[in-house]
Amino acid sequence: MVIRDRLVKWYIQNIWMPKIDIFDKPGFIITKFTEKGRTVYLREIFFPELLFVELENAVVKEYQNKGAKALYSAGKKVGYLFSEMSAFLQLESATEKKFLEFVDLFIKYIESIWASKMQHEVDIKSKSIKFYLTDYIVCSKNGLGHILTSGGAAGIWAYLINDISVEGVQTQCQGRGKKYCELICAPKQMLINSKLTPFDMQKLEIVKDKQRYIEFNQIRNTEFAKKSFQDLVNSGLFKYAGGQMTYNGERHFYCDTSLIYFLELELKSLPNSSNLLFNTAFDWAKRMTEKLSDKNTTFLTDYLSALGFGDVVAIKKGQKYNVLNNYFPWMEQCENINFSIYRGIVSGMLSGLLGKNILLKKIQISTQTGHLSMVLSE
Amino acid sequence: MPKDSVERVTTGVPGLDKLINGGLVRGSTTLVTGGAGTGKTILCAQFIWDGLQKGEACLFITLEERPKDIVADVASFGWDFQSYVNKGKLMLDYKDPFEVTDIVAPLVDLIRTRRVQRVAIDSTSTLGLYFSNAFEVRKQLFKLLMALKDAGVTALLTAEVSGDGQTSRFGVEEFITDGLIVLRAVTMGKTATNTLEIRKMRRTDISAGIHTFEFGKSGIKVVD
Repeated sequence: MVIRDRLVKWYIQNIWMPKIDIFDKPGFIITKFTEKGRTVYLREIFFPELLFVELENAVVKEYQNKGAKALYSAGKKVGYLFSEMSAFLQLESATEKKFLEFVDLFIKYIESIWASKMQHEVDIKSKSIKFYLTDYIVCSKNGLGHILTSGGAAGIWAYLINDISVEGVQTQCQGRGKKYCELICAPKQMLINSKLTPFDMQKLEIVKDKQRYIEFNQIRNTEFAKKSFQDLVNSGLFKYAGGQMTYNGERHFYCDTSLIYFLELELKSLPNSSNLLFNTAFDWAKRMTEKLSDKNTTFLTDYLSALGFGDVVAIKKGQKYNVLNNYFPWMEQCENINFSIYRGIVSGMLSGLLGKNILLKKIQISTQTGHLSMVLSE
Repeated sequence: MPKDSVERVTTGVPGLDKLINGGLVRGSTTLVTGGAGTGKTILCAQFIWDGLQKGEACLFITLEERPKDIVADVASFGWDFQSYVNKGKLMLDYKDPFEVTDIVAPLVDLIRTRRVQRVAIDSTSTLGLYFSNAFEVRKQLFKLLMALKDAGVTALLTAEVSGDGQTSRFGVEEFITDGLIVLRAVTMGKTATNTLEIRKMRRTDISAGIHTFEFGKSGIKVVD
């Protein structure tokens, strides 16, 4: 079994992922493959794990259970949308054997990109799945357990078994001293019957107009960004192996673009959440760039574009800075958020590079040219 | 940025020289690329005007505009090219793309006989009209650039690019030249901003990043 698992993981990391992931286009991280005659096209990003930890910590500290619920909800939405966009095999459209084989393979994929070890047990009868996770993203570092990522797992499982009442509960936590994390995803009532207290979030979303999504996120030649994710891996700046990337010793996890949208949308109703997200991202990014030996604003272009955020450039106009961002990952919700996390990241990076605080509080977005462009300004 | 021991030639563009250690390396070739209307011709003319003010003999080869149009255009910046043409210090040479088959030999002759120190060629993109295939264009471009280097002149060449990330028309100029300056007109929201990027400059500690410039009464001025 161990040998088989290793072979499967090797196959995923070395054959399957390189075949479906597009890493060599500056500004873009794309997953593309054909499933049942349908083109699956996903605009992805690499997100810094430590920033994610700090965002979760700040939200929970500020809003307590309401904050945790918002994080969980965002995660469930991301997981569900990602699964639907990926056209994953659902239980109702396959034999039990085929479905379980798919789940095995899928878990190995998740293990490749988000954990060092991951095992699972599926109980088809009760529509439940139990995960045993080692070094799963975020948890081992925040001491809070999985919040958004529990939601993410619940969203994926809800799609796979086609039951939106599925929720996820963490029952054991590596970040709080256990050897590994344990997470159960099952229909809410079953969790309650097992004396667990799940969140309740059943308003899930999918990308309705997939053709529009593909058109808005299609790969284009960037004007300013010249280095792709692959270029930075080849240069040795990014360390990448089997789905996991580290830069300066910090893990960056591969995730769907919808993360930055749903995180902000779910927190929107909480007071001052936009500032909280901005400030947290700002502090992280400023610390990060302050440590760099070569402080040039071209870092912003190289780093963010390689992570998949489009064509990014900082331009000084008079005494003030503007950041122009073409081909930012598009979702139809772009009109409903003000990109607080992203503005915080960019502002913090510029501040660390320039040695003075640059707060890009204003944003203009445009989709008139068939892609998402934005101008961030002081 | 500290100055170095390399002999430099000022560009005449306020703010640009400080981004490149005080100026272009004497005897070097630099490609200026950008879309239409980004300021390539003005930058070349400003470089030539600066040379004329320093008493240098200059050659401006235009493959797109006729000399009289160049003279009229730059007059709006207060640069009286015609008086220098009359004095024999400026050679304004128009090459008709449909009549000329070799620009290198006459160019070298002119440089030698008139002791030219600065050359501007605007624009190399038009060279595509001279030659029947891409290989021939690249060969001729290479020949041209080598001839400029051998002659020891400091040269600016322009190339028009489409603005989708390209930095040269024929994919070879940027590698052969010593320097590469990219001009862009960037639309940010409702306003357009002109930017300049020094992509490479041999033997020069360049100021990386995107710099903004303005078109003013006296030509181009780098703001930041």
